[in-house]
Amino acid sequence: MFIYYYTIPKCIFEFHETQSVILPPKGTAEGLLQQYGFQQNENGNWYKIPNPQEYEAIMKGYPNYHVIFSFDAPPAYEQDFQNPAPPPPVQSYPPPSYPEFQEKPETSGRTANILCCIALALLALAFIIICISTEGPALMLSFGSVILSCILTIIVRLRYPDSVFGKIMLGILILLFILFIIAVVEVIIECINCLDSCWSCSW
Amino acid sequence: MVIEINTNYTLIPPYPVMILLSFGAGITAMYFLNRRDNIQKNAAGYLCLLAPVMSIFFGAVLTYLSSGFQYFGLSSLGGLAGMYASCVIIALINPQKGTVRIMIKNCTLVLPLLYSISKIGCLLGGCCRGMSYHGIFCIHYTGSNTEEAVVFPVQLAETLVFLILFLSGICLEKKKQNTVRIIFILSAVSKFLLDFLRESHSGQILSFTQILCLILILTGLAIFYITDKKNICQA
Repeated sequence: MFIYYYTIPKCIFEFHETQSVILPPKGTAEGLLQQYGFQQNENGNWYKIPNPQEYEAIMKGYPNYHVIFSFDAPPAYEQDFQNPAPPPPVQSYPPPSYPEFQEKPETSGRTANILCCIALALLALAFIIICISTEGPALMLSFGSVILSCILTIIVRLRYPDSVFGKIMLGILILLFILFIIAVVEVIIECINCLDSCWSCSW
Repeated sequence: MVIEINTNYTLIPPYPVMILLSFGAGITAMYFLNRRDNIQKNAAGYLCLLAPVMSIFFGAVLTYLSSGFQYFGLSSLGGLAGMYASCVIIALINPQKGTVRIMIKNCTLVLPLLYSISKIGCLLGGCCRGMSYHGIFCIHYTGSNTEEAVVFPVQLAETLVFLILFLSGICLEKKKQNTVRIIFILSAVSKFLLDFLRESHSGQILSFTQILCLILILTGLAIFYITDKKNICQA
């Protein structure tokens, strides 16, 4: 059974534990694969996890029919006369984990805490700068610190999802984000009210 | 036909409301597009947090620099740079590989929507307005927040053009191979051409925004050429 995934012919459908994947034939252009949302695992192999509609369409034809996806028509089926095809060798798709980020728990916990501490320090720095000066460069520096803090927190949340400090930092940032929006709206309303009262005095 | 806009706001000015709405709509659309393309839920979510912050920061910095360190404002091209920068940062942080192109592609598709909604804010607020014009659909501004003027409805034109670009991009993305590239180039060209109709353009051959648009078009074309060449070599 082959899957003709839009302009990529002869893709293979494979089950791996709880996940199923579409594997493109060797030599398919990388740009084309990326365009269709294929991803690369740690071995450099390309794969795509089908969305629920694609999965349903594939399962309708599995294993006796080739499934043909096209842009202008619903999925079509063509009988696979060579079926039953030998099952392809099971490989590790999708990657269950990423070796470059697999650190020992204590090391990763320490790294996450250090990153969170830097993020918190940057947040504090932003407040200190605002308290000292509200000139243009100071505002930019303060805003830049908050963004750096935000990036560091996201690094922690994405790479060390179990870090409690990371979760707290994210909570603080979301709270600040909401307060910032409320403050901006409030300041604008106040400015307009002030201007209105000035104009009503025939300035 | 004259469009009458009074800028005496009783409660809240429309500009910040439309800016917030534009971010809300754009970021939500980007989240769903990323999820559709199998970007991890948390990475797509964190992009929603970082993108508006970076977009506002870059937008403010660009206005501050281009005004000769005089004032802050929100520049759309700065905002665009911020959105792309946030996509690249999240893609680099994210352990899931091969996501940078998908995120940038979805960001490119969503940017016209963001710009389109924000321009309604400009239209109602009276900023970024067009040159003096007394023909059909001209806008007559009155009220305390703007000088009285009759101008070309450039913000309305921008809203319509970019809304069409967004809808075309969403409809054609999966059908035509180069849709995202075309949307990117068309957005930059539209912004370049529509800038000629702005009041701020009078007395200039090319405005600062237009120069940035030209740089954007040339950079885009160069990136597309290099990517195509790389793909052909790999094939």
